[in-house]
Amino acid sequence: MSAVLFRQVRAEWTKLRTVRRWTLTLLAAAAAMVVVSLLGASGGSVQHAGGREDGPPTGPEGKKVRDGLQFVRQELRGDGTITARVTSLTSRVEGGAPGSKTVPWAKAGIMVRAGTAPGASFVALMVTPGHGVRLQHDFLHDEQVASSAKWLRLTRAGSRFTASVSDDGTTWKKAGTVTPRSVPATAQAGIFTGSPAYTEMKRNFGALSINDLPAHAVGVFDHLNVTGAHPGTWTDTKIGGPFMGGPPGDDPAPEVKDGSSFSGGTVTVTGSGEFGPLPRGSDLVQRGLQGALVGLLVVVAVGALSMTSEFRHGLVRTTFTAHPRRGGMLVAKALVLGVTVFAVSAAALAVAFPMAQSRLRSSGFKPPGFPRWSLSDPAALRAVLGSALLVALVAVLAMAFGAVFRHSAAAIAVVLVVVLIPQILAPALPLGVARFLLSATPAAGFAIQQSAPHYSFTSEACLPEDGCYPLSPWAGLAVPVLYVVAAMLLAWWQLRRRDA
Amino acid sequence: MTRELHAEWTKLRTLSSTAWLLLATCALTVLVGTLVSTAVSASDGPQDLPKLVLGGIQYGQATMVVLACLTVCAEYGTGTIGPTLVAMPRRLRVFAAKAVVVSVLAAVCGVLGVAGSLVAGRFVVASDGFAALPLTDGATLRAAAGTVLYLGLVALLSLGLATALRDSGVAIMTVLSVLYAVPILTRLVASEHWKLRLEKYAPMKAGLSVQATKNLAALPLSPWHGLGVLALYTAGCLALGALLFRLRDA
Amino acid sequence: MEIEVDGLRKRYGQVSALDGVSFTVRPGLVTGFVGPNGSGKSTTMRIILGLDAADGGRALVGGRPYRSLRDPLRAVGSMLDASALHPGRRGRDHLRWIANAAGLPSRRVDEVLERVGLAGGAAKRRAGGYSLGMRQRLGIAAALLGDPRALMLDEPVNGLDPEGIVWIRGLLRSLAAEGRAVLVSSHLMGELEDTADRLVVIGRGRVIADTSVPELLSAASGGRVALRTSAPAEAMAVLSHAGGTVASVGADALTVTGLDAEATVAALGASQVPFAEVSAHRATLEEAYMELTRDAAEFQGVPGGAA
Repeated sequence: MSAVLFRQVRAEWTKLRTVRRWTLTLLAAAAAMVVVSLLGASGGSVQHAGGREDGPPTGPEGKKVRDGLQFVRQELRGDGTITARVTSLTSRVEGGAPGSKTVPWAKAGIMVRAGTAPGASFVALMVTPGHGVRLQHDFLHDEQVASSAKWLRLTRAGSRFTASVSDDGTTWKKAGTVTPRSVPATAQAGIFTGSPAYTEMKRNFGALSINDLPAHAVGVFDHLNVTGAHPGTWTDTKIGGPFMGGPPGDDPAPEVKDGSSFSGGTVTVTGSGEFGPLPRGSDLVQRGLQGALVGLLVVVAVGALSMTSEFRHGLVRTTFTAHPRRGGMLVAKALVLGVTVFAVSAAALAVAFPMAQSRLRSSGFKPPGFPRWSLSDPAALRAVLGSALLVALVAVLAMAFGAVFRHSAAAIAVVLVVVLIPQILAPALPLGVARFLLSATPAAGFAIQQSAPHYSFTSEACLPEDGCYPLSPWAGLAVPVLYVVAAMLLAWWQLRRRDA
Repeated sequence: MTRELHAEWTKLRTLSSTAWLLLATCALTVLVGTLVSTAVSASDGPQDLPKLVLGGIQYGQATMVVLACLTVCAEYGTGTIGPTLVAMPRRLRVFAAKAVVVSVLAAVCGVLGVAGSLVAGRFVVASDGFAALPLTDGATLRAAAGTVLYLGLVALLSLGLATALRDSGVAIMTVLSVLYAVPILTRLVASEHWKLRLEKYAPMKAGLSVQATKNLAALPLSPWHGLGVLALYTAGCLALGALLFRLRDA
Repeated sequence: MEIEVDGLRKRYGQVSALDGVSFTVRPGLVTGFVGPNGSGKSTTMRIILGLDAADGGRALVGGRPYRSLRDPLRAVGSMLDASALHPGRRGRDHLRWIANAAGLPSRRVDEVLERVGLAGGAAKRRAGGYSLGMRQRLGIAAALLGDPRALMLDEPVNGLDPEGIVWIRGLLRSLAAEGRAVLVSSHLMGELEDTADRLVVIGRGRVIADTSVPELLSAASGGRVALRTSAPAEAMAVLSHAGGTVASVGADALTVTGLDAEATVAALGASQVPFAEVSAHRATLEEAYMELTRDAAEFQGVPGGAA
């Protein structure tokens, strides 16, 4: 840091520190963050679904996952190949005529997995009605490898699995190679089907109705062929519960039974359930950090006024006389404001977070159904520090807009509108527009509060009303950073161009 | 009170920002309402069409808030509150005159915005594949009139709070936070009990229930009751503003 | 129309801004209201105009509190803060809303603009671009709008160029000559020396002097006589003997108190002490003011001290 900038930073720090009102406002922001975080975390309750006391299974990478499918399998010892043709995949939604409704994420395909216990490591190549041909492994990894194909093949060589697809069974195209975490030498190989529930979702203006209907995937396979050391007899296994989520005892008897039937060379497998990452559900980390939004509102005023008050009281002439390099003043102000607000918010949120988590636990959000979060978890620490960073960025944004407009009312109104309105607007808009707004405005930064990313390859939509932000945490936080950079450049240009 | 009204009208009329803010309020209301209705199609299921096309008021109100706050705060910011109270020492009359002028402007703006939204919405809704937007049935008329009243109430609420707070930045931040932040926080509140209460009595949510024309039984508050809740908030803010305006040193 | 202030008291937290201020502004006279910065001038004026409430005492305009006046702008015209303008409003529009508030025809706006020399282009520009002098003139125009019987101007000379200062002095004199009561504040006594008929001197929230200009001067002069002589030692002896108190103010200069000029000349003549010049010392208004407010000033520099 050059000596001049250092002096400017010191001057700005003195300016910020010596206005008692601003100090009090920052302290009020800190208090508000703690109080609102606690309020947001308290009072809720969670009903424990019967049969889910043991919680969802743990995947090979240590994360909670869901695992449900109908698996027709045999043992495969060492290297080998499994090939099958999927002649048809249809959906059977309970309460509807066969074929009348289609579940986009229904699955039918071939799989090699470590065992039949839920949460076992696996590789699977499958067709879906709405999302093409997918190669997945170990629940959290997914790739679309072709838009359509009938023939599927998985080849094992050591720990590596190569997927190939074909339209006619003669010309094969390599579709990808994956190495799952822990598929042992003796594994289970076979064909499977599975289907998440059929979701009817209506987003009316500001209101959302979701209706889940149990659904089954009916897959018809032929040309089933396994090479390598294997016993040659097929076993039908249902993996996981019928429908994750509901207490099984309360389910009405299903209209369609899961299972399989062989007739000649053709196998029909009817299956339900979904395997992959857990739905986001309530993100406890995000719930314990709601105070950040309120703190953010308060610091917007401090940020804007720290700049506009210079113009209103003519102080800016003194500032520019002392340090004629105006860009330096802007940078110094941004540094001082940003660092101060970050420190205050980080401290407040670090205090609020464990308290909020303990409140949530006492309301029933506790293991095994829910993870136990503490500041030592990287995702929680990222959310806490990232929220503080977001608050600081918005303060600097307000400061920069203050330099552009030279009017606190305009600066505050614009910042509040770009940060708040997208979040208000989002639930009322069609999903595509809502996602666009939440990734293109500074509101995208709230993605940093999410402890789990939204996986695009699950049947659940990323709904803004559930607090789901479309971007990944760091990509989301990058959006307000870009806004700050742009606003600072605009402010710098304005300061140089206009008279003080 | 004619002199006070005349003076306050001249004051607002002679600032170019007034016209811009009014224009922005109407334009935002019509534009956002139309955009939102464009994005919905008949295949999404039945919709509360009048509420849909009038939804732009949620965004148009932001600039009306700014206008109402500046009506008072700009006086304190620039010091013209001195000349104002010297020329018109009867303070409650001045406050009342400001309230009248602001609410008349809000009403005119509201009528234009609502009419524009309904007319534009009629075309858009038809192209979305819905049956024609009813314009003259009782429920639609209530939604339309209620929206105009809503804008007026929000403007008066802003005026009252702004008079109590004086600083434009602080006032605008407070009013916008009260209107917008409460619904965002509501979404994440863990307690269902408080969630329902907040949804029921938050000023914006309660006031906008007047726009509902369908499925009224499912509303936490009936349309007019909802607007009544907002009117109570407004009355409280106006009373607070008037009291402080009367008692405090200029 | 008289402005009468009686025992005003006002506190801001711990600080006592006014501590029993009383004075009267009479029609036909220019009353100067002088005191150091922070002595309470503006507070007094704000209370007279009903902007701030006094904690004690009362301020009456024509026998009534300002806030109860039916036509306040016809009673008192005032300018407290010339910069109290919305920067986005044109100067002429600023006067128009005030005219509306007082129920005055817009013809009056043009008349007062003419009178303060702002008619023409300047009044049609936005006030944000006005110089301090133009704001001052617009503020005075606003004060004159109601053709008021009394005028109250806070530091009207601030920021005016020499031509403007001459103009405002003439204006104040002519307003008083028309029979209006005029109260003008300043923190510089010199500004008021040729303008004010009466002076109210205020310091630390109290009135220290309420007097006419000649009275104040002679009080400050204190009957001193200045004397030049080539024989200061003899002169001191003679004059002391005659009953005077003598102080040496230079190699050949003395000041004498207790004797008037005539007695001094007689005493020196009788003892045949040579002297060159005898004159009654005339204090400037500034000196008199300094004398009065020495103890009352809120801020004082350290004389000769390094800052």
